[in-house]
Amino acid sequence: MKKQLIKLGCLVLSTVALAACGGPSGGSEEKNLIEPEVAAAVKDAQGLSRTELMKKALEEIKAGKQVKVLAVTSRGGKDAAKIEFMKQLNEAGGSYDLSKPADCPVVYDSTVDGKIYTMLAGEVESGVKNYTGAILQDGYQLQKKFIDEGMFTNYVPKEWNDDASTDKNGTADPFTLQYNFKTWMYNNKSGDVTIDNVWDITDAKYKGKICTMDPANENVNMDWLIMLTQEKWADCLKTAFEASSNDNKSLDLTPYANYGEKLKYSYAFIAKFIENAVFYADDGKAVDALAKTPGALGWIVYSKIQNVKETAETSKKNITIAALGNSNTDGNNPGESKIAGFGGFMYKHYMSLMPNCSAPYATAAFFNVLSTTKEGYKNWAGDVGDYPTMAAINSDRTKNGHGTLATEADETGVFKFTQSADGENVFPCLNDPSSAWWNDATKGNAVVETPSFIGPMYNRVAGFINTQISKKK
Amino acid sequence: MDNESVRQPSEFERSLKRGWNTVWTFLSNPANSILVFFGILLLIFNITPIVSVLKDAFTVHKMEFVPGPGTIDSDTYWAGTPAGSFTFYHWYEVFASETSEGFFWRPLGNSLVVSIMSCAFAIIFGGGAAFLICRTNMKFKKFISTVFIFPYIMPQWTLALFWKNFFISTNCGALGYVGELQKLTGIAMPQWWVFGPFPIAIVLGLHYAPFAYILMGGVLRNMDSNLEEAATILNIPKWKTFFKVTIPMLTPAILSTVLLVFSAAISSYPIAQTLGTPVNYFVLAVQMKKMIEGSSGAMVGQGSIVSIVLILMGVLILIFNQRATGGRKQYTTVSGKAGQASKNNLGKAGKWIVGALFSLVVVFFCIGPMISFLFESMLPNPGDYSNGLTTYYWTSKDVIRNDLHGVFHEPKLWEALKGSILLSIVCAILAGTCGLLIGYAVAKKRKSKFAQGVNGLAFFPYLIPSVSLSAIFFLLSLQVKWLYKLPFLVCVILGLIKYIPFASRSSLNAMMQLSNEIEEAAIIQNVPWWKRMVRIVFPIQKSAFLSGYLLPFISCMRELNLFIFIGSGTMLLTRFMYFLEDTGISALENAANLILVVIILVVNWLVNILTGASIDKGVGGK
Repeated sequence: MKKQLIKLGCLVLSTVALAACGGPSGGSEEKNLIEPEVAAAVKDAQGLSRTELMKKALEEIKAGKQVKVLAVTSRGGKDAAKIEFMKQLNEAGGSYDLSKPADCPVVYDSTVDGKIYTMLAGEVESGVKNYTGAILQDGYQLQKKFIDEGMFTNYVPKEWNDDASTDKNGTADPFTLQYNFKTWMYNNKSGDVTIDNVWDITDAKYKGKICTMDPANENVNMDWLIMLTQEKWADCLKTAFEASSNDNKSLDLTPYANYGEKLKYSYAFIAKFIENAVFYADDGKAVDALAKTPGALGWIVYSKIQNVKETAETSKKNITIAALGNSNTDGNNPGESKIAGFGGFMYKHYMSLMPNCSAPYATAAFFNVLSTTKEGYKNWAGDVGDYPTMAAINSDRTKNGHGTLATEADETGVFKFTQSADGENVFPCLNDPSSAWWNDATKGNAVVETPSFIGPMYNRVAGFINTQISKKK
Repeated sequence: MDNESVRQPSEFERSLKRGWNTVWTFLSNPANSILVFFGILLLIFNITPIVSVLKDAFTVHKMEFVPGPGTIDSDTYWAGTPAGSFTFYHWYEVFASETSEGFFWRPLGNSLVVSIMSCAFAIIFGGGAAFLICRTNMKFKKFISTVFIFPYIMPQWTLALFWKNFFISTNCGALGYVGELQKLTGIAMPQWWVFGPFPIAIVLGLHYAPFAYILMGGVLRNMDSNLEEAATILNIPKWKTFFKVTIPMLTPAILSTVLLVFSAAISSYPIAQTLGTPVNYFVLAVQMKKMIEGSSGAMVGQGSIVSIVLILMGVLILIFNQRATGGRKQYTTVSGKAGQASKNNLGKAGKWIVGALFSLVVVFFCIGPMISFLFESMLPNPGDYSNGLTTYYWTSKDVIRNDLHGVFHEPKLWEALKGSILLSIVCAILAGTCGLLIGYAVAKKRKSKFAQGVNGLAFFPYLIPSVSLSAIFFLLSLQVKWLYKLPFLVCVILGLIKYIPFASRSSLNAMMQLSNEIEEAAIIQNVPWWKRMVRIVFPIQKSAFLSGYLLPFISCMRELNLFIFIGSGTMLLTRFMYFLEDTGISALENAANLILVVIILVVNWLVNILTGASIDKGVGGK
């Protein structure tokens, strides 16, 4: 009661102060910060083939303009992408020396999603023309800070749009370069762990054993938990809870009953996941801990398991991807998911030109290379758990775990693994299915990040999540 | 001669002239000029971030949710209060909501516990080392003195990681695995030793013990032992002499140590993140960082309030410190008279035994982490020695992963290192000189409230969390477009603001020991101020003043958060290390860390060779 009175008092004071100040500026009209020249160039660029676009890009570059990208991933700035961009520019009349990627007219910086929006929005609001494009993640911030503020400048490459292999479901606007993937995994070195239902991880015996990141600190995890309150996922959790594979059927759901007949499953799951989780500063450290600790579970970015090097003590052989199971031989045909509920969380990397972009054609051209060419996407394509929306540019990773594992350490200090699709199935966890399998409701059944759902729901659910985190002792 | 030509000045003109004369007389004293100049400058530097933090604490931000009018079931409630509105809601959320206990009160208690414990440990460990080196005939002094500062040079998180990797054991419940100690000896340490308040306090104390060592050692080294000898002549027991004579003379240094360690410890997060978070032992700084950087920006207002709380706690300590050093209890330890320092005799065997034992402790805590970085830079997986060591991550000319080569062949790493060194040198020179002048002027006018005010202002930026300063100055630089295009300059400004406190405390500490009579003799001889500074004041307290240059250099070299919003990711080595985390090649990260530490040590050594002074030598390691 006392707390409620304080809360009420704060609200009244705020309202009075707001009235006194005349209230905040701005109305409800749709915002648009995209400069007309940029909008026109983007519209034009979308209709151009890659070759035509490169010609326009070259004109801009020759006029002294430069592509400057700020991204949440460092991969787009690697040499392979730059060389491919220079190659494409050369085909349009450029004269770049492909052996000198440093000459590429692209400046590429990376930072984390906690800072990228502050930096980019700050520049635009202050009228500073600096970055020309961005690769972003965190659907909530994207929606609130870029889309709602009229800053998101959507460029859809013609090649992407025309390609039949492209997954256009919710990926064209905002334009999605790729899906990234978080999934359930566990260290089964001791051979006594089986996670065949998402509710298994809520069991008290896993308290302090789920290696992951703090949702209050890592926006992707927050977005995922909020997605679980979507009716579709509440239904999914209900079905999994009632399935015979659930080892924690005795879980008392009554404390969550007031959230509704379906949503109580979502909220109960969120609460128990947080209760059992151990928070690490980043996914790299979480996977290190998982690899070292038999019996530990992980809710970690899938690609991070590639950081685990083969030694006498540590091996990817011990890691099981819950949805794929221990005997996954071929990502092309992994069969049914081995976990009831959902297999993981697909979050996205979005591409946006800056609304005050000084080199719209050149930036669009660089994005075109990253998102529609094999060479441009190469830096991601080798990683399990990275899935381009234009499937044609992906590498086949369905038998990435097949090959030969040396028994002696090489000069790098590891047992060298020579990958070969015809070889022995050494690492079942690396036989990566396609995004189509993960996204198929009857198979991997991954939760897919949907900014338009997260945006309006965030406030309703984040409070609950934060309360659960604050209760951790 | 007519009346007009002999016109008497009006009353106004006379008062103007009197005023001008007063101002001129006031400013012709160098100490006053320095105080006025830095008073204005520091006021600007301090007001900007404080206003910004305060504004954030009362404003609804774009990503924040502050309920709108109506009941919880209504749409208006969930529509929230518009961004930009004035609000007290963040204060309610921090202090009295459902999450307050877990997000604020418990972490606050934890922060106080670990900060107080780390202060105590730093003073006992650092002060003990200083005493043994300066006032006893213990053996291996030079070695101990040299390596004792290493933990301060190393980034905090690396020390925490070293502690965890070494002591973690199968006794640590669900978090446990066989760590280095258990592997070597079979001893399995309990969880409370590896995670929680005890290791956080010890590692924090270890990191900041060099503060105590430098500050207390400076006094112990220069202290005239006449007073102690007088006590001995009067047959006062040794323990009583220690507590009634030695300790009181050390009081300003102890208080400065408490101020620096407590303020730094309470706003430090990397150690608590590594050794506390896994067992849900959260401290306030971890919460603040989470609120400001994480949560998609939905808790910025709350983060600002936590910043204010951290700053206020620092201010309280600062006021306490100023009362203590500005009052009667101040002790001149360097006078114009001849003095001598007596050494306590530990005995023939004692001096070897104590020296050997202390060396062992120091080797473990101060060199152990460096050996660990070296080994880790030769391991494919962190902490996994099962396949032996490899030099591959140092020597590979081929791409290891993500366009990254071995350390010796990675141009981005060396470019970033160059940036770090350049920035650190510039910041050290600027902050060191400004701090020296401030310390001098404050000491000269120590009784004046204005001087105390400037002293407080000079220290204040130390209390502002680095992440907040970085974000504030990033946004400010956006308003000055030419400045935004010069990120190096923005970093210099930030470094200057943040590191003046080190130099000013160091300089103040040195000046407080210096008797006025030394300079007065030169004043009588009409020696100009600059000559007095260069020829008398600086040479006498050279070691302490130089530490005022070295401390900013060291801090700047290993700083990440202060520059996190500024410039590109490869501009500085720490930013590059942060980028390396993303690549998953921990060996490269450890190698970069080792290079960082070695560079700092080399600079310390070079300063020692060129000037005869260094941080450790300033204490007496010779």
